[in-house]
Amino acid sequence: MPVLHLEASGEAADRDGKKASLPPAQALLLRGPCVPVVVSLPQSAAKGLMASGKAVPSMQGLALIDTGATTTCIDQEAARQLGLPTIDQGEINSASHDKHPCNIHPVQITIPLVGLSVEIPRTAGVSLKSQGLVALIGRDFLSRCTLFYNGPAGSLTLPF
Amino acid sequence: MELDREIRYLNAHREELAQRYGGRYLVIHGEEVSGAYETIQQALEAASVSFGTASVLIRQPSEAGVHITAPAYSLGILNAGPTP
Repeated sequence: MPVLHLEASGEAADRDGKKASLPPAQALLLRGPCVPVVVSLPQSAAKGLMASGKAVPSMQGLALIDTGATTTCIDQEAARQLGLPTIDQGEINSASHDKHPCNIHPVQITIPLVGLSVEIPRTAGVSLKSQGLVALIGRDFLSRCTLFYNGPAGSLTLPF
Repeated sequence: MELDREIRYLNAHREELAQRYGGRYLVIHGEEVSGAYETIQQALEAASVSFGTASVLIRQPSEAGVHITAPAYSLGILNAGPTP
């Protein structure tokens, strides 16, 4: 069984602008549970590309685990760059509007640290780039694993 | 908006499609059902073979649509950028 164990890390600048490493607990508190991932077209949706001998594009980035999100979300700019097909229209609440439409894309999320790939047939395309994120990992992904959030230790463990 | 035509078609023919295809996932391109599949993965694979990475609607006839709840995103309070 693959087990992902991560200790949060980060830097903060002092009043003089000098950077120093943060303790893991502080880094986890400030950044949240982030995981390095590779996003790409799922194998099932890539058959056509592979049959024509084309490479399946992928992109590395950081995903934030969000237990409040029903559905995994992908940065809409990353979805465009990867050429992910739109397979439906969804609705998501926003801070400024009651609901607004978003494209639904199939995505494969790979966690290279444990060599694990999860295919999510429906993810929501939203704007995440400004947060330094490529994806939000929602409860559809988390339904396949166990999540241990260790605040005092500043670590995260996901047995799959 | 992408897939407007396909969604309009599905909404207009929902009952007829539900009777004909039951709970199967439909691949709809334009105003045509190109296939009906037991799983969404099978539908994705068939759509990929037929249409590459072009946008097509994949949905069960009875589904109203996809509603996403992501409170932190919705409220604009995600805070996952570099540490200050």
